[in-house]
Amino acid sequence: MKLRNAFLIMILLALLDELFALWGAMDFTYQSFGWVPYLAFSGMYLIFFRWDWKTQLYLGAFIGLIYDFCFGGSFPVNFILYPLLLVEMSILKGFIQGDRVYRILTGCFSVFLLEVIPVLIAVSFKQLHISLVRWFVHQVVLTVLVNGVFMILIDGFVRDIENRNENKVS
Amino acid sequence: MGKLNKLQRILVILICFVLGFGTAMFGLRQNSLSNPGYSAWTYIKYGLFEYPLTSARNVFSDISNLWHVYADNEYLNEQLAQQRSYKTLYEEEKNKNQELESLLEVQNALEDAKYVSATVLERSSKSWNQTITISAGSSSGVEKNMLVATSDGAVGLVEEVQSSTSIVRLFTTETMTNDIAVKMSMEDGTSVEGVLESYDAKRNAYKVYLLNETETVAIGQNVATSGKGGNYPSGIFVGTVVDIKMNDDAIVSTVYVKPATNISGFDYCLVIGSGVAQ
Repeated sequence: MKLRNAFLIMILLALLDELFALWGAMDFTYQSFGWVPYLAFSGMYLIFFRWDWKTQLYLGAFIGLIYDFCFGGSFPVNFILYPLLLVEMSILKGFIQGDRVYRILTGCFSVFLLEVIPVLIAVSFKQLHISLVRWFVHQVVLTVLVNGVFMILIDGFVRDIENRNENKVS
Repeated sequence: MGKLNKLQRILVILICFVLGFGTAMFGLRQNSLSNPGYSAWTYIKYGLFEYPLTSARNVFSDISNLWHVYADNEYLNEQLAQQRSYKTLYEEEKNKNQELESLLEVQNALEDAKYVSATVLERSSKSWNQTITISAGSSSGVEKNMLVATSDGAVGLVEEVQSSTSIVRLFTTETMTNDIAVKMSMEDGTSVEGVLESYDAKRNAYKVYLLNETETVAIGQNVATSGKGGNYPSGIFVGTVVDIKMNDDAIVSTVYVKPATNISGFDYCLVIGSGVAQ
C-alpha cells in the first residue's frame, strides 16, 4: 500500500477512535462495562506489519507522536508504545504473515498490552488507585474483544486494497 | 543517519520536528501564551468532525427521547383513561352506597312491616317504565301485590313471583292492573282517601281519584299508601300533589301526583308487605 493512502487510512481510523470515544464515553469508575477504541493502532499494525523492523520503529514513533498530540492527548504513551509493539510484531512477522487468525490474535494481544502497560505503570507508581480486577472485567475484556472484531474488518479492507493494487501492477 | 533509508530519514526528521514543535506548544500552553497552531487544529477537528458528529448524536438522542416521550404519552393516556374509569366506578359505588344507606333508614322505620331487600336484576329497555325483575322471590318471602319501594318512596307492585326472582309492575306503567289505595294527610289530622289508577306520561304524574269527591286537597300535599285493600302497609310515600283537576261543579275529579322517586334509575329496592318484619 502506498504510504500516502496508509496515512489517510490512519487519519480516518484515528478520527473513528475519537468518534467512538466521544459516543461511548468510558466510565472511569469502572462500575459499568466499556471499551477503549484502538482502531488507529490496529490499522497501523495491519498495514505495516510486513515492513522491516527499523522502518516500523520510526513509523510507530511518528504515528504515535501525531496521535498523542492531535488525537489522544496522551503524550508520550503512544509515542513510546506504538513503535515498541510494532517491533514486537515484526519479530513475529514470519508467524503471522500467512495466517489471518494468528494475525488477529497477535493484534488482540498487542491491544491488550497497549491497554494494560500504561495502567500497570501508573498503578506501580501509585498514580492510579483502582481495583485491577474490576478494571480488567469491566474494560479490558470488552476492549480486546471489540478491537478484535474491528481488526477483522480492517484486515479485510487492507487486504482488499492491497490485492487491487497488486492486480493493477500485474 | 547514513544507515537509514530515505523514508526512515524523512520519518526521523518529521519525528524531531513534531516532537520539537509539540514540546514547544506544550511549553507555551503552560505559560498561558497564545497557541495558534494547537487552537487551529482543535478548531478544525471540532468544526469538521466533532461538531457534526455531536450534532448527529444529538439528533439520534432527540429522536430517541421523542420516542420515549411518545411512549410516556401513551402510558399517561392509558393511565388517564383508567383514572376516568375509576372515577366513574367510584361515583357509581358512591351512589349505590347512598342508595343502600337510605334504604336502611327506610327499613328501620318499617317496624311493623314485612320487608325484603332486593336488587334490580333486569330492566328491559323496551319496557323501561313498565316492569323490572328483582332479585327476591318466594324463597325470600315475597308475595304477589307486595309494594316495591326505593328509599324515596313507592315505585311499583309485585306482579309475578318466582322462587328467587320477582317481576314488579311499576306505577309508571301504561296498564296498571291493580289500583293503589292512597291517602293525603290533612293538617287537622284527618286524611283524604283516594285511588291511584294510572300514570299520565305527558304530565309525568300519577292520576289519583278521590273516594270522596267533596273533599278538598291542596297542591304540595304528600300522598302515601293507605294500606287498605293491598298487601302492603300504610304510610309509604308515593308522591306530591302537583295539580288538581276540577269538573264543572267545582268538584275534584282528578288529582295529579308527582312520583316520589326517579323511577328511571334505581338499583336497590325494598319489597314491603303487611305483617311482621323478617
